[in-house]
Amino acid sequence: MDRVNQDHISSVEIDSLLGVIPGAGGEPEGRPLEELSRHLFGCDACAQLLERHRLAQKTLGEIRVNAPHPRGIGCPPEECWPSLAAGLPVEDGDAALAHAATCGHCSELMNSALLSLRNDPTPEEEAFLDRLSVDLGDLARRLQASAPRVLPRRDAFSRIWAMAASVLVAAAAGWWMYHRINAAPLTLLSDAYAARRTMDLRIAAAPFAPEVAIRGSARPPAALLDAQAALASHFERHSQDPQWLHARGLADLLSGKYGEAVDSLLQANRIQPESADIAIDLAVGLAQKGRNEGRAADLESAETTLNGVLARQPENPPACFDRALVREDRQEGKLALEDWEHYLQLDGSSGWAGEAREHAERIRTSGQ
Amino acid sequence: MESGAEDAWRELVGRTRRLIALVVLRTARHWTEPAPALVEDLVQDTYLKLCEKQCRALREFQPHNQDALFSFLKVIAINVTNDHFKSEFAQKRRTEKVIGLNDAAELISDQSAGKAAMEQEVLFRQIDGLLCAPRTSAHPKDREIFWLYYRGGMSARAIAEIPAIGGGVKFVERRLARLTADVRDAVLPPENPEGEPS
Repeated sequence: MDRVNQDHISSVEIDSLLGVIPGAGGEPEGRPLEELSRHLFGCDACAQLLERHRLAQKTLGEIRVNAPHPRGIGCPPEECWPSLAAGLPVEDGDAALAHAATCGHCSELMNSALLSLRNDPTPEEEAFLDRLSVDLGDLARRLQASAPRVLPRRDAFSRIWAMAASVLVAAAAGWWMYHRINAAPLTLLSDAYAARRTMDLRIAAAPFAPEVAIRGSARPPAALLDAQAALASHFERHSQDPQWLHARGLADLLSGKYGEAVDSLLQANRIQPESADIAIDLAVGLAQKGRNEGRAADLESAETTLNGVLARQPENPPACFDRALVREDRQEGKLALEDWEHYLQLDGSSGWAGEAREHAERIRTSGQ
Repeated sequence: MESGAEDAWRELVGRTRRLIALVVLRTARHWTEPAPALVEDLVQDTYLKLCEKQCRALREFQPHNQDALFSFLKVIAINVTNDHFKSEFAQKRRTEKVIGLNDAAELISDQSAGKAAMEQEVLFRQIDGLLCAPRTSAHPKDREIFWLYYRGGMSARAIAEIPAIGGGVKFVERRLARLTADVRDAVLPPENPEGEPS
């Protein structure tokens, strides 16, 4: 009976066979197609199950709004879609996007705007653009003729450049502010970690600092207080931004609130699964939570998370360092030693390397 | 001094003209196949739009990242082009406002399709309820990703290009695969009592 159950078609194989989202799974999962076909040919139950899924998928395919859809009374202004598609600020942008999701009229406008905004011209488009012959001199004269209504002719040149310069300066300042505001809490938190490193695990972006023992209720580092203040002021407006979720998670981690830290870091990791820094700090949160609450499952999750980072980036020093520590916690001495030795190949001279050598030596001596 | 002003505009246009022309061309093609002369006119209209109302668009523009200036110019080009065609088609509609026999037949056909539409609405509400319900490992934009793909007919690439969603094409494809499997399970037709694997 077990053999029969093993042969039945799995949900992963159903998804592969239906192939509904091209590229979603990468390589087809499950058994090879020929083997599945043989099984489906001889197993009515699986053939019927696949047919039911095929019908359900067909039903989903029919939900699409095919006919030209008229504008409804609740549709946002049509001018908002290009701005939303370009990432420019739009009032109630989230509500507009939620509306577009179920409105054929607005989703079509959004789609059109996205297609127009793409940067990569096709060869045919390139050829079309090559045929255009804008008379730059004539256009410049027309633009200048429009400008005098607001820009006095005698200093039109400087005014135009002043306008252009102010836009460019504002753009640069805006960009700088955007990055400064987003980066500031994370930088402060790295500083806070280094100012008083209270755990052996290392967070992704922090410089080396020796671990210190804290006795009693010491005042938190100033950088941590500053980061917490920044979070209190800005987090609500950026609550779905993975950088801010990352920062909140780190602030909780450094404050010893491991459960809250893991919640925020998990959320950031779901939004930005490709970020190695977020995944490493999530693993640190899980490991600290596991140690604090005596939960082996959290330590296991920490190791799994770090395995994921190292599968993508085998030479990521913080991930390698932290996995070695988590493996020690999990009594996986041999594997931990492998990680320490690998770490020392990546980094042989920093303060972290000194700690790695001590750990490796201890494992060798204990013969774990 | 006037020639200096012209030089300034010439510089601006020379640097951004091709970018704007590409956006105008693509936007125009949603309406019709444009002649090169029309694209040239709409490119010029885009620049003139910047000068309107004491350069108000430029003055009110607040950049929020390094690409915002180019995005801003592209958005103006899209709006100028769409406004042109909307105005043109509105004039045509005013002169062709008599409903022909074919249109009347389409209206009747639409009414007979009412039952199917109602069933679609019930299905839509069932699925939307599922997407709005709290689920483990949900993403805040799951509902938008699912409906933009299935109802709006957008590709995973297009959905990933929406800055408010982001995450890349692979991320959107992974979410779609997960959501599709969940929703398909919820709308699976009844099983044949003798046919299900044990």
